[in-house]
Amino acid sequence: MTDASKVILLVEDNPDDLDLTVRAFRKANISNAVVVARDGVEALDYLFGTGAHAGKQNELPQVVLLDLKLPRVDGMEVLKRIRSDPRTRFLPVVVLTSSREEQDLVRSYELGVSSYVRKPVDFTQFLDAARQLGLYWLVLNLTPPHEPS
Amino acid sequence: MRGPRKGVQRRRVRSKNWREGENRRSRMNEPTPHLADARFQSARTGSLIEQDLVEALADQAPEPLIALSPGGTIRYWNRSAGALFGHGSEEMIGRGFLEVVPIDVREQAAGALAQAVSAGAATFRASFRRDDGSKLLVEAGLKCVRDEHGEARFVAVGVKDLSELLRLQEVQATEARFRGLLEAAPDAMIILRADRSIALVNNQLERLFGYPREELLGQPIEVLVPDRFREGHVKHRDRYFGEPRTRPMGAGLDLFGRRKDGGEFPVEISLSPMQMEGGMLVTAAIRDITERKLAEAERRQVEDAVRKLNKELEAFSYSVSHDLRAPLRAIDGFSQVLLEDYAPKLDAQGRDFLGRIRQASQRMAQLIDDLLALSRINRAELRQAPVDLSDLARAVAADLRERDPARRISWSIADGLQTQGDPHLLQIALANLLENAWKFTRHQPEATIAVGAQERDGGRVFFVQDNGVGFDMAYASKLFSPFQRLHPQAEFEGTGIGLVTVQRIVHRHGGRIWAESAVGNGTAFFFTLGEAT
Repeated sequence: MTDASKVILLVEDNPDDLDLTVRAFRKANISNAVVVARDGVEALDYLFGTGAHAGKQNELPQVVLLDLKLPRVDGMEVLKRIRSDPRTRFLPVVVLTSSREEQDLVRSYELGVSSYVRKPVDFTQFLDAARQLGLYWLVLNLTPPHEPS
Repeated sequence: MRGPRKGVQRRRVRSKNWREGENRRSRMNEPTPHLADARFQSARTGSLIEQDLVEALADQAPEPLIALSPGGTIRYWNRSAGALFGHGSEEMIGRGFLEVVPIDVREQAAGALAQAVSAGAATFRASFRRDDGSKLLVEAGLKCVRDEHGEARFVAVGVKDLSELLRLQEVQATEARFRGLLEAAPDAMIILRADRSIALVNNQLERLFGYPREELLGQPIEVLVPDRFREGHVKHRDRYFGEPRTRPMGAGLDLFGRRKDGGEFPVEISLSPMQMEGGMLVTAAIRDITERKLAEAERRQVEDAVRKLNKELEAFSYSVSHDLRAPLRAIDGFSQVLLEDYAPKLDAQGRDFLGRIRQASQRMAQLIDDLLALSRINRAELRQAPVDLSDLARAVAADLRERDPARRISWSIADGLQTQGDPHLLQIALANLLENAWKFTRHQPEATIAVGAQERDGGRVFFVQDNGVGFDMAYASKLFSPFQRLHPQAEFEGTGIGLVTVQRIVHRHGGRIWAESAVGNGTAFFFTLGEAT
């Protein structure tokens, strides 16, 4: 049902959440490849072809699912860098986090997040959230073509 | 008082001598001879010099002198009397003495005159106002002059102006009042002359600065100022005398007083000028604010500590919000994974256990959320805005109707429950109370939930009332403690934090909350919001 050639960049450091999120996508019939970054640095390296990804021409993901609490470079910083770079400024970024602290919400939207979703504890609800996220960001949502890098 | 009497006596002697040369018969025919007549008589007898002499003497007398006929007609009125009373002899001679004295001393004057005629002498005091409004206190000495037959011929009246005395007494009384005020003042007071020396101090000032007043009077005010401020103080002081007005001293500055022992203490001083006859005086009220400064410092310390604590709390709940839920997601998620992927290997009991694990983790998540919400309420800045509790209640009711459209509830929400408070927090409070009512009326076939207000003890009390299961008032004290629940979880779900949250919100508004209930008879929650009445 989705354009499976497009990848999802999942920025998540908790292996439990990682497994459950991937499982939720599969359960929701989202077959896109999931690229995992375990902290902010890995995410930025993947997106901008730096560090471990130096020299590679990674295609930009269809959507970035971004946790906020991350080792080394946190989610807010990643979001800021994505929005301030002409190559990625239109990239859909969905914050997917435990917190619904007001400061997180406000800061995320200030930095230009596309959407903010709180991970529910109830896995059934989480499945539902994953399904809707996939449907919306991988199928319904349209983004302008990427500017040449 | 003796002066005028002497004057009268002196004059009497003269007039007697002069009268001895008169025709006694004619005097007998004329039973009320007097000085004014003397002018006529002497003119007739040609003894002009004597007459003028008497007149001149009496007119030169500094004391007001008056002569009356025994019947009270004014016969003589000297220049001083004219000056004192503001009416000259030409105006007064021939008039009745009793009709010219002020009405309220008339009786007294009449008594004195009668006494003088009968007993020889009398005095009386009278105070009155002159035509120009100035106040006058006089003492009149009356002496009856008789002829050799003992017949009263005239009454000589010497008047002493006691106004100066009166003024002095008034000044003394004013001073005494002023001193009384000065001593009664809670503050140390000091009065400064125009030459910047200390004119007056009160007991409180002696105590505060440790100086007996005799060591301060006449000293420059700077003796009470710490050395390092003295030079500046002299300048400020002189400037103040230049443009005096009532004001606090050294606005915005920390002021200090210096005790005799050299010790310093923080003070607050207010200055006010007083224009007096002898020049300007400045009154300074000095208050020792050591205690207040200490209290302020203490308050600042507490505030800092609270701020720090709040920051820590914020960091703590931030981390709770992020980190505590993640393991719960794993517990719930992997239990579900087990249920899905390993169902064939589990029997009914195993599946039931996994279901309970999931329920427990979800409940834990709810607890965390509620606790975080409570902590947010404690930390949140309290806003003040007009709030319509009726509107808030109707919105919550609409939500609840949507949550379970099958429930039959008769809502009764009073109109116009206007108050002042934090709209967001009051919404949370009302939502909690209404959700409670909604929850505990679940088993009522005809549930009723009412929101309203009533006057009690002069204040407004809001209420949320239901006809639900109610509770035993014996446990009412547990109602507002965290995690305390009065109903089993299986019967009515809940974390036991909702009412704590409501209470916290009510308290933050300066209000009070309490409940009235009976098992099976519904519950009413009452709360105030610290509204000014």
